[in-house]
Amino acid sequence: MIWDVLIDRKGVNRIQTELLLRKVQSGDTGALDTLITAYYPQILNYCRWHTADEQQAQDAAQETFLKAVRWLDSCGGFQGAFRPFLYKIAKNICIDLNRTMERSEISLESLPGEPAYQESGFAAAEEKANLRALTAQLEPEQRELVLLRFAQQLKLREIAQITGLPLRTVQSRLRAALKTLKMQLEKEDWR
Amino acid sequence: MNRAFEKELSRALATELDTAAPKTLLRRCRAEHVVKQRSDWRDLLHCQFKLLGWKVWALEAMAALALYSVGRELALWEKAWTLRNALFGLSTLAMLTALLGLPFLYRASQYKMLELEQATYAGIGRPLVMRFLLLLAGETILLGVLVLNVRAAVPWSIGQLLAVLTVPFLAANNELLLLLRWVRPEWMMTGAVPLFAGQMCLLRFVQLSELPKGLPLAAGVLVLCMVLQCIRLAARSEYIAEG
Repeated sequence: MIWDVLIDRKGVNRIQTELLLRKVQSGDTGALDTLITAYYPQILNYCRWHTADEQQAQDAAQETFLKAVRWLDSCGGFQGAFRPFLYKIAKNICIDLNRTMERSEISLESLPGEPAYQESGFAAAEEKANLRALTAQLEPEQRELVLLRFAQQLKLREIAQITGLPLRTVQSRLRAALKTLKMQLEKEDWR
Repeated sequence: MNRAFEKELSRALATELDTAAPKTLLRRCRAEHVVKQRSDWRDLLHCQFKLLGWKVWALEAMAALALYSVGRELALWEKAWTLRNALFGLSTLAMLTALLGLPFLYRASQYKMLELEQATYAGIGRPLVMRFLLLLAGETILLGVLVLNVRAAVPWSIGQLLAVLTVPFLAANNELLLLLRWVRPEWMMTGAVPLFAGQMCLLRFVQLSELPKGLPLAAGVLVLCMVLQCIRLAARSEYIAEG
């Protein structure tokens, strides 16, 4: 499909997303498939951090896209930044799911699996696992910001839109979270 | 140091981009996505014209004619026909015209009457801009007629007249529309009182003899006012204060 060439290793950028959205709103199903394919890995990864297991994460990710598609046609068509919009939906779906399951803490067993890329060396792999575990142990608000910034590679402004926090608050909480992670990592190294 | 740590953290938490979207999801999304037939900008403008444009212009023209006739009968105009009074009168007319649309906008907001916007690609902001442009077109014609009449009585250039008459006129008209973003419609009449007072103060400070001449100046002022208001009205954020 012609739109598949738009997706590269890094996913789609904002201009490409706008182009795809316009095509989707004019009825191009190929563009819809491309849009979903481009954002599915990110949303699934986000849902993995916020749900109990892989099955729930996949359900949440799928429900996110279904809701987004229904919203695309409402009220004169979608306007605004698509990525924060998608993450907001995913966030709310995960909250509802956890509320149903009465689950608030992420257990270490439910963390997403192996990192995306392969790197040789036991030490590097162990460090990554440590960082993931330490991230899971952060306070929920700080963890959310760290995941959105470093796992999902969102910009600070987008994070502010998704969380509803002022930009400065996002910056200061992120700084505090990084400081905490660094301290915890140094403590782990000393052990 | 921090950058190195952030890079390391990004790599540790990275997303697997090779995860493919399930085919069932793609099929379901295609089934959910119903493409609606939408009209374009011209159709929307034509629709707005039928709904709003000619009725409001007719209303304004009738109101202006009625005021003029009553004033002539009472011999008011010979005594009161100064430029300042004319400016104040025009500002008042502009505000009253803007207020006419308020009950409609309030009801549309309260009951989420978005059928017109949903039929187009235009969202919520653009129909409002169109309504503004249509109202402005009618008021510009009215203003043009008044300018010609005033010029007969006052020996100034058309450029000076346009500059002096249009700025407070447009400002008064659009201040009320912009107030919709912050003031609830049922309080608009109260909100309009300080605007009236502000317009009167504005007129007090206008030194007409110091204004430069030239139609380009007046045209520039007019265009600037229109563009600024269009930009602000076309903003996507809510333009009516919610209760």
